[in-house]
Amino acid sequence: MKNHRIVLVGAGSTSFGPSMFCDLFHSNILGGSTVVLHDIDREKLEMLYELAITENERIHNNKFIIERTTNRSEAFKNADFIISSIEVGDRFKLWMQDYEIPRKHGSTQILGECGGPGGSFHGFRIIPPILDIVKDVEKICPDAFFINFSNPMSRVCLAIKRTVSKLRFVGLCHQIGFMNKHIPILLDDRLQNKEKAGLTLTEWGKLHKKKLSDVKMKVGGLNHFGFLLGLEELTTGKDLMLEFNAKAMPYFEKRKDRFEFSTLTFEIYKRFGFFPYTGDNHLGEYIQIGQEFTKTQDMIDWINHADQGGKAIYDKVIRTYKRFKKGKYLKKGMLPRQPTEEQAVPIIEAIINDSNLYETAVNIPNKGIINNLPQDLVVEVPAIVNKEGVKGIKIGNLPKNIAALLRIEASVQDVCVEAIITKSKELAIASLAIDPNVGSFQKAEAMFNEMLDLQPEYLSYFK
Amino acid sequence: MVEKKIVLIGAGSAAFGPPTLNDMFQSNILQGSTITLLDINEAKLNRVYQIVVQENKIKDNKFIIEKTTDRIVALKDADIAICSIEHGDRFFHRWQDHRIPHSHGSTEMMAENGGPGGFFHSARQIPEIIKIAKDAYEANPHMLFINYSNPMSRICLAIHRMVPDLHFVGLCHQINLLLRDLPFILDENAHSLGSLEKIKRYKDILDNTKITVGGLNHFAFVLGMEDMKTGQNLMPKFNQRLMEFYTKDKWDRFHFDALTFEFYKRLGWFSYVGDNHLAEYVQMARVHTKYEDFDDWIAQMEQGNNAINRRFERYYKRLKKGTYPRKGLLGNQASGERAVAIIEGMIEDKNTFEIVNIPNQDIIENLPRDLVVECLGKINKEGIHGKKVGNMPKTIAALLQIEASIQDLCVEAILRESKDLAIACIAMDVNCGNFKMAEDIFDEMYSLQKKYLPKFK
Repeated sequence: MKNHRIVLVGAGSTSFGPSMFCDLFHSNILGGSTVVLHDIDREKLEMLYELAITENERIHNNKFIIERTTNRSEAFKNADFIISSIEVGDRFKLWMQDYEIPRKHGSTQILGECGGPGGSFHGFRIIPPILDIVKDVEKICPDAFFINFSNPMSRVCLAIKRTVSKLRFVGLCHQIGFMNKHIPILLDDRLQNKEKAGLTLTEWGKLHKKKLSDVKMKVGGLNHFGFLLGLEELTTGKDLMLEFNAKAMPYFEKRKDRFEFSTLTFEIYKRFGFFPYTGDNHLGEYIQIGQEFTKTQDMIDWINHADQGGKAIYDKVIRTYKRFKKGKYLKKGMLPRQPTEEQAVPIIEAIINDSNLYETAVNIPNKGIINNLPQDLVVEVPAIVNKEGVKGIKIGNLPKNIAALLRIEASVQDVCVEAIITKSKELAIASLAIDPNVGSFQKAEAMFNEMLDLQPEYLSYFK
Repeated sequence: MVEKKIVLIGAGSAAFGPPTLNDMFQSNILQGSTITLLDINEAKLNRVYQIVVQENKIKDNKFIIEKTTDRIVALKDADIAICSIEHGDRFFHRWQDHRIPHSHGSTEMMAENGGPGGFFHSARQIPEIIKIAKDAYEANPHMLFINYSNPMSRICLAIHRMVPDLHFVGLCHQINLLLRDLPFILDENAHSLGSLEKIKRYKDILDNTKITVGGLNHFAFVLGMEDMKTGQNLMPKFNQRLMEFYTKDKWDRFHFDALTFEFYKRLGWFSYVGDNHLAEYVQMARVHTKYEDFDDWIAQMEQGNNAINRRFERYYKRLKKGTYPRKGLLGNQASGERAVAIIEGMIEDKNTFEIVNIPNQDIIENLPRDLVVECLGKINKEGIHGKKVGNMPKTIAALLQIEASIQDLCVEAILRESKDLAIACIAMDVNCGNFKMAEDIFDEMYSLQKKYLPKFK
């Protein structure tokens, strides 16, 4: 076992740090590696470090060598893998501003996290520090493999691709998890009613897992804006798309969920013939049609729900830490017994083991994967992972209706990222104005100016 | 002198046939050629034919004039086809295109080539033009096919997809708006010259300025400007002088007005197509243009067309009475259209430059390949060669890419006669952005124009 050096950037985050510890501790391949926790927030970093070494020592028999540092150069020295999940400022306070201010000025955006003018402001704040990080990677450990978790995913990754063109990187998002959860159930009646099928919870879980491992999904699009393009049964090679399309509407309508698949997803699916797998809240960010099929209050509730989810995790970590400080650390440790659904660790393992892992949804530079989207774009597609890295599987042309929707968003992303890289206020305003959920230079300028007043520390680099 | 067979398709229109002939009569190169007038409306064709024969007589029978309502006959052995058809009633349907989407809440300001209204115009035109283009290619695979019909970009894209080997070009006179003013923009002293000198200076500047453009038809921008004598880059001068020249009193609500100058101010590039056309493709138009102004614009176009028809009628009556004016209907001024200049440029291997609409291939790198772009074309005996633009500025490219996406879907919906794609295309248009609205627009327009639309299923 080689001693790999894996750096977690933003490791002081109570949502990111522990979930990565969990996946790392589940990995046998990575045992013996050095895990470097890095954050600029010394206090939080120290807390997470103490928890990590405690887990490592008490539960996992010192499986890893764990280090921590607030110094990025030190962290990156000789790094093999870097997993970055940073957020700038107070995430939810700023997100609410991203959502509210553009709407106040007449934007029809529905969520403001990754798309629409709110997504642009999010990008304006977070992309510059991420570019500083990847430039350091280029300087200090140019051969390291970089994994990004930060949103707005597509824009962050596009900026990375344009700034450090040789960087080996991938952007990961768990949104495909919805499909992983539903597709086995949709395809197998026994999973829909475990009592009727006489399955215990464990049996149900096993069957679900088995079913999932026997399907191969083909997806394509942008992050939070991807579509299910193909579905194949691995053991038989059977095309399952007909079955999916026959069952999808009754299945999902029965499970209609305002934070998951609801009216907007159904409408796009019905009209365009391809299932968008990211959920109404995300899908609606990129399209004017979002406002027609989502409710304002639902989206505000979603932001608050996400906020509360984050706070609950934070509180749990704090409680665990306090117990640890009192010498009453949890016997079984603080981490879940199952790995999370995040794919960073499996991808690292596949690179190390050259295992040709099929990953359903990764964010990588387009370059010939989807022909009818711009080549200078980061797309969400399936890929094969091996020692060469993450190689996208060619999609060819997307159906024209989906491609048109995606190209509109790709155009906005192109200008948004250019504005950030060139620090141009004019381009920033233009990128907001071009967004179909703004469509006006005046509105764009007004929201930019108000956001600049509210978030000067993050936006005044625009000249 | 080269004897060619040139077919004018849609020649029964008084606004198309005679002005095109006007340019041909001024050409010595084309003397002796056969000009075949083709139209499906026999009555109108006959009248234009009689006038054209009479005009030809006045010009010492410079051409051989033929007429037919049979497309196959017309296209047989033809070297060049010039197509300017309108399927349906040009203004009657155009008013519907303009009114109905607007009445359902679309923010499109004028509907001819873009927006939901432009979808229906395309849907009426494209199937007819594809039939013609296929026949042209069948008749002579080396034929030059010149399209004047609108919506230019969408029609040309459909031709490119359906008759990929046809040698075609789409032509539009929109650059003339800028050319009218350009000498006074580039030379601040031109106005104060004596009248003769002024004309000389004016002509000198126009003859020696090469303008590089890029974009889509009615949605294009000036990207470069060069003095062909000295090789000097005229863009700094152009940019320095532009707003000095266009003082508010020169703004014109139909052409260069608030929208054009807002774009120029915000994005840094000048769009030469006029507010009325630019407005078709962008959401920002609702802030900077007035719907009522474009009502007036369409009405003015309609009145202009009626005036051409009335004048034609007067001449036709006099022809019948045997009192046809000696000087004829056609003047000695070029029409401003560029078909004849292009034909001459190819025949004489002139290496001249014209603004053309041709398949992108790799002319503009950051727009889709499978798109017809408006660009500067070099004309010689090998054909029409688009001047490479490389990457367009990103802001403009983004706006164009949005429209290109709509065009892609529009053409696909029409060629496949797919109602789902048609509604998707209308819904996705930035001036609609709503499925319900798109469906309502589609249903009403389909009931009104069914006879002229594909059988959308």
